[in-house]
Formats: sequence, structure tokens, C-alpha cells
Amino acid sequence: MDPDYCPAWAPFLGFGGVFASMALSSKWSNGSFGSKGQRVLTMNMFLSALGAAYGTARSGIGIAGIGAFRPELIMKALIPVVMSGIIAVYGLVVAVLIAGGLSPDNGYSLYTGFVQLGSGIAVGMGGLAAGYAVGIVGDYCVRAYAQENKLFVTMVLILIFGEVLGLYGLIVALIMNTKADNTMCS
Amino acid sequence: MASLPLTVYYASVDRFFAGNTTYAAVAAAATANLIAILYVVAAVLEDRAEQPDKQKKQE
Repeated sequence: MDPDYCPAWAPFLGFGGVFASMALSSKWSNGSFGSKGQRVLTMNMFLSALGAAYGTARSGIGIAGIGAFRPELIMKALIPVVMSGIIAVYGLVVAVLIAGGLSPDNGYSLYTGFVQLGSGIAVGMGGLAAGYAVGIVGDYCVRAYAQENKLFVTMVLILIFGEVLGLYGLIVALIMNTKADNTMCS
Repeated sequence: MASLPLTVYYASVDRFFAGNTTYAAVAAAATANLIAILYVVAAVLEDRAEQPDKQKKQE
């Protein structure tokens, strides 16, 4: 029996990649996560980000803490929040990239499905790690920055190093996505 | 924040990169990072603009 290299359910894996890139680098906001089996494209619009939201929320705690008695530092203290937003943008870019390759008319191979699922998971897990790092560093560094002004450069440096974890996930996802190949199905 | 990288992606994928989606995605990620760098620069400049005012007030 010949294995079917282009099954009809292969795009489901591509959708899973889009879900993983968006849902893992982002986080749910309303708490209703749903089951992981519902990896359809429309879920991206309802799920907000996991790593990026942890980064935003955790650093937001610190900003709220210092904002009460040092309001002039708030603009500089918002930098971790901006970094968390970038992490979510990485997931968004990969989701758009994968979704651009999905189509009901052209053949879609199982190989491409797995490659795109892997790229979505790569950027999602990288974004989750980066968001976690940015959140914790943002929280404590912002609180320390309120007491010692010289910590600003240190904070930005550590945040950049945490941010590049998400960037590495994006790079791996892009490299994997270039390997997507549907020629054996058409 | 989210709209500018997406706009850059869709604008550049056909016009500048001849359909090569990877380069367009790299351009979108670069614009997202550029926005962050601009924010950091703006925050630092705003802080420097406040400091001469504070020194004048204290005098």
C-alpha cells in the first residue's frame, strides 16, 4: 500500500502551526482557552498572547508600583511593555507567513504541513520564553530603576538579550518555512 | 505597533522581494524592532528635555 504523501487533512497541520505561533507567543485574555484540538485559523483572532501577555502583565505590575511615587519615570519604564509587543508581532508575522501558503486549490503535502507546524511551534515557544524573561526582568528592573537611575542602561541591555530569544525563534521559523514544498502534490 | 509591520510585509512581498515571503517577513520584523528602538530613543530624549527644566526650577 503506497503511503499518501498529500492527504486531505494535511492543511490541518499548517493551521496548527498558525495557532501555535500566535497562541504560544501570545496569551489568552478572557480565560476561555478552549481545547487545543480546535486549531483553526479563526482562533487567532480570539486568543491574545501567552508570552507577550505575561511580559506585559508582569512588567505592568512593576510600572504600576513605581508610577505612584515616581511618575516621571513611567515613559522609560514602559520599555518592557514595548518589547513584549514585539514578541507578539513575531508570532503574528509567522502566522501571516504560514497562512499565505495555505490554499484549497493547490496541493498541500504532509511534509509542508509538518514543516509549518514546526515553524509555528518554534516561534511560539521562543516567544513564550522571551516573554517570560522580559516580564520578570521588566518587573524587578523597573522597581530597582525607581531607586537607582543608573540601572536604565542595564535594564535595556538585559531586555534586549531576552528579546533576541524570540528573534531566534522567528529566524528558525522563517528558515523552516522556506523549506515548505508542495511540488509532489500538484 | 501591529499594523505597521503587517503593512510593510504585504507591501514589500510583491513589490520589493518578487514574492519571496521570507525577506518580507524579515522586513516586517525589522520594522517592529525599529519601532521599539524609536520608542527607547524618544523616552530617553524626553527624559533629557525634562532635566534642564528641573535644574532651572530648583534654582
